[in-house]
Amino acid sequence: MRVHCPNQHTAEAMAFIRTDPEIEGFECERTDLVIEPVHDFLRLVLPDAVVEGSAPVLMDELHRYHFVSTLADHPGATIIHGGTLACPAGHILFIGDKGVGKTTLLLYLAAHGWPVAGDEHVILDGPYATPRPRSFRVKQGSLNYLPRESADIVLRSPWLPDWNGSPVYSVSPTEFGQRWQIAARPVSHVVMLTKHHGGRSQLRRIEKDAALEQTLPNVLLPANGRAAALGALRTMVSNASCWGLRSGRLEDSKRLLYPFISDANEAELTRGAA
Amino acid sequence: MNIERTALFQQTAGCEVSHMPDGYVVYQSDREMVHYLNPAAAMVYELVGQKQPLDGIADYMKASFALPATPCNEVVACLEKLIAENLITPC
Repeated sequence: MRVHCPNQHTAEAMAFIRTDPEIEGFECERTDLVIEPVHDFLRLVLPDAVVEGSAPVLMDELHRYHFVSTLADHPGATIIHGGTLACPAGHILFIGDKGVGKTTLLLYLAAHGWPVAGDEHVILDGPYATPRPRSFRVKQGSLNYLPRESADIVLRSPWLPDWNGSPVYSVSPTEFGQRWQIAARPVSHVVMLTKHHGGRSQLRRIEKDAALEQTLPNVLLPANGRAAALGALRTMVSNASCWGLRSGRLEDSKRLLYPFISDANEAELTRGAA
Repeated sequence: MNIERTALFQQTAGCEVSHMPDGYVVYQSDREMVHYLNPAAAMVYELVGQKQPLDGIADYMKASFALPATPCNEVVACLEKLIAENLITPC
């Protein structure tokens, strides 16, 4: 979607939702959306709604429309609430409950040059997983865990206030000097995150049934064809290596996860786990 | 549970079945439950759907898996589990 803004002020406000990754393997259709000024407000005509309000109101509706469009483009797909490390051998999915530190970990990895492709949703369509393109949404508290120069990058990024008035920054992985590629690939590893904030990070193999059970609360199934979607989810977990990561100190987690993105073989991976 | 050798069962309505290479995934929308049936359980479930009694299911399993004896006890155990999960009900 290309959003045309009536002035620089609106463009700067809408920059929060700017997303511009390299898309591999998909034919992209461009949709032009035009924001018009209407008295003291803005108006946006979407294919399924007309929205009037401030820039944050329009952004909420654009998010909704984008999500609905994603579901329509992938009928029968499952949406997994999780983050993605994009590796040529297969994606590494990070799944965990809200507040477990998924975004902070992935942001930390991205700041160190790792190929993070998404931190919110993954579209599982048959055997292939595709991270849904969206920039990081970084809360103030996460800045404490980043190298100084990376924190400065975040602070220079577009932001919006949350319900408490605290800033939430929108940061593209490309801001850390790396390519941001969105591609459909099989899943090589599933990492279930639990929090161990302040403690040492620990990584261990987990049984596939346990991984599937922990994944299920974090998925949105399609309206139709749920058995097939669940079957694809089960197949994804069965074909991947499954791990539990108690995420404590981020440097520990990075060290434990490094073999996943290097050429380590299975024996080395198991030996390296706690 | 005492299951008669000639007892007939039926697949519970409202179950969505996905055929996987290694078994069945069965989704029950009203209970929001998902079940995985291994190949043997999937075969029993399928034969129930074809209105086969316990005897018929056990004979079929014996032939399919080239078993030395008819697996009546195993089929009964499988049927009991399917009943417990409300995947099949008596006709």
